[in-house]
Amino acid sequence: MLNFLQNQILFYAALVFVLFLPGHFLLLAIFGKSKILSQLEKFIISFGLSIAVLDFILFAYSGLKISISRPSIIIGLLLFMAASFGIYRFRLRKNRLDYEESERTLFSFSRHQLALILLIIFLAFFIKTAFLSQTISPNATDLGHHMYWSKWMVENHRLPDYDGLPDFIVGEQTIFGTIGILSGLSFFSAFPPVILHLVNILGILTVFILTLRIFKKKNIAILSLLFVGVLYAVTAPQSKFVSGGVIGNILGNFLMPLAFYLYCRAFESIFSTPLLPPGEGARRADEGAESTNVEISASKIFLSLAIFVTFGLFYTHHLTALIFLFVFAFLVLFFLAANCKDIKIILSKVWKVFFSPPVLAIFIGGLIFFFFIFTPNYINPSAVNTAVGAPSKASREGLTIANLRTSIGEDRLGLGFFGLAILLFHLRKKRWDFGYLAVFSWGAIIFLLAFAPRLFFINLPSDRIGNYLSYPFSILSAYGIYAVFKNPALKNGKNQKPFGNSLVRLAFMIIFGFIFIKGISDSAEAIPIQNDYDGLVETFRSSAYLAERTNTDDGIIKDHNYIAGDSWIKLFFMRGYKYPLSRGYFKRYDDTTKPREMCTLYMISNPGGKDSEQCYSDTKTDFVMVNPRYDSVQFRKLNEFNQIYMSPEVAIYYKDK
Amino acid sequence: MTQQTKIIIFLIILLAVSSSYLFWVDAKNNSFDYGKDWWAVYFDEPKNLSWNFSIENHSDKNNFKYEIFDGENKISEDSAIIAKGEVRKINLDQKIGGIESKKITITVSDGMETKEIYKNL
Repeated sequence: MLNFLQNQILFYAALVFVLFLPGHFLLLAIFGKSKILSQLEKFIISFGLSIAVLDFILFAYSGLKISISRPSIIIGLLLFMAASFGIYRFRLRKNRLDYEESERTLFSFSRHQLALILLIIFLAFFIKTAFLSQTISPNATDLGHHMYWSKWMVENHRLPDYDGLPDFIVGEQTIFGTIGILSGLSFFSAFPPVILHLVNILGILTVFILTLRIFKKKNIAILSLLFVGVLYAVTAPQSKFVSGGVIGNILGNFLMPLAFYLYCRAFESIFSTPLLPPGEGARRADEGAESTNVEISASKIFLSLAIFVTFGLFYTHHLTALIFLFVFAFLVLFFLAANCKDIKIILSKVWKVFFSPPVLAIFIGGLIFFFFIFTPNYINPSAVNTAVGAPSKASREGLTIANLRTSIGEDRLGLGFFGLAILLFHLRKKRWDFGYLAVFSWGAIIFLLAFAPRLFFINLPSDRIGNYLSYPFSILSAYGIYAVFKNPALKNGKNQKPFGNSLVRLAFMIIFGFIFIKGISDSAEAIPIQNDYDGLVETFRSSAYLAERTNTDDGIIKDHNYIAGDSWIKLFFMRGYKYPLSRGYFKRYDDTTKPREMCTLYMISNPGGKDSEQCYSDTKTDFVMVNPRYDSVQFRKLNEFNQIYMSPEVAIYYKDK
Repeated sequence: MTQQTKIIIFLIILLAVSSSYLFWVDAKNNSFDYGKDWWAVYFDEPKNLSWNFSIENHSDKNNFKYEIFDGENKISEDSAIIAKGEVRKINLDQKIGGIESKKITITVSDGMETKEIYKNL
């Protein structure tokens, strides 16, 4: 018990030190005590900025050949925080950025709204925790692969090189490696999925603040929180991806909305004044140059932060980064096309903001890091070629509407489309509003990428892209449902009342009740019945047995089909990402689009065959780990194999070389 | 206390409770013994001709009977009481002299289930 408590304290201390304080101090240095960001926004953004700060500190260490260890991490982060605090103290006497009173009241809720927000947050935690309590233990294949490289970072005191594999991106490992180093916790504990759980919640909260900032309507923001946080709270890309260890998606779904939030904040202030409707624009212009300067200054700072977070995103997940690029490119083109009459004003303002010292410093600094100090593995021609081109498989030719219905939920899809249509209609009057256009582009482009990837010439699994649709469609659903049921008295006219207020309320209750029950029952069905962990601990025990009794001269092969949590076996050896060898899923050996080696199949399925004999010799394999319930008979028949370990779910055979 | 402070504190409390609960659940799941029912038998030195083996018990059964075969012939048998969570090393090298056949087999039974390990010479 004492050990458990000690581990808990170490974990939370490391979590706050690594994932909160750096971003908090950075915001303090930039904004001081300004109210330009609400407390809640500062709290959420601090985590996103901390992730990017940590990445860049570790990249700097890598470039300077500084060992990544507990003291060096602590010193690096403390120096960063001290420098940020120094800047804050230095700037205390200078003019501070501040905002209108209306901005301050944006985060002031009525008692009912506050109660609703707290209830939604509670439900989100409750549902997700109920699901994760059944799936938290280290079992998932993807998480095992990622944790190998995180543990590699801990043991080798440097950023992983991935043996040249382009499938991994360093940002997926830095958080886990750093917290592993600082806390000393085992990678076989719950700490990796718990961190992902936290990031998942932060992603949901980011959607909340983004929606509130864009639409300036608290009820839309609360509805979006409900749609993304409570309804379908378990299905991909949420808690299922947390327990499954789909790290890139989880981090991407936090950093991408955060980047949109910061871009929206950067552009909302500079584009609002000259592009406002007649009358409003003149009123704002009368306020004088001072307020414009404040807006320009705020814009520069938010754009710098947006670019910083974008680099963090590009260092974290290639698919999210690619989707972000598509959405952002469309957003910019759409914005310019929608405001083509004001293009001169827009470009002159953008010029003033972009070609400013803070923005250029972050942009050029990020590019230098990206191309010269630490370049992600996916920046190479072969990786780009695999993602670009005509779809090479049926699974990459796009999702049907039926697929999308299953992926993000029928009602959320329907309401999302409805919200998209309403938003498009409202864009006639909101064409200058960067936030409105951002939500529209986010939803529309991801839908098109998933539905018709040929339009964009991309060759990626469509279901993986479709998973990104749930976040923008949650916002659009909230917007759609709000548009229908807002202020019914005004809509119907005081005297006409074709639908009385009570009838509208009743309709709202029925529709909303239907959506709510469907969304909650989806999560309830996804919660598995109590898992059996005997197989998992047997895998870990047998792996420890082999790790103690073998060395690098020994070759090991294990089976992926029938051994529980087998991708975690390599963490016991730490002798290479592809050690031990693995017999993959049988269907993979029949994949005509991607011919693969057959030795791993032969060595377990037919160990007595001639091909197999050659394979054993070539790979120097002398130990075989299989599930005796499925793969035992073929070894028992052969005299050269010794049955040296036996438990219900794992048998180990030794073949004397 | 402002509304936002309330929301942030609420978030922190929920996160702490949720993650502590998940750590606790995981600690139980990851335990070799808690709620588990399995046992294993293995050679202590798999690569050489040592016959020493271990029985590792993570089940509720405690009485284990083991038999040693030289080819088809039983050459030794014994039993051991092994508590849950205990690993019992059984030193056979001192007990067994020359082996006549080309295979030595050890079978272990808990009364319900039998497992076997063997080495070919």
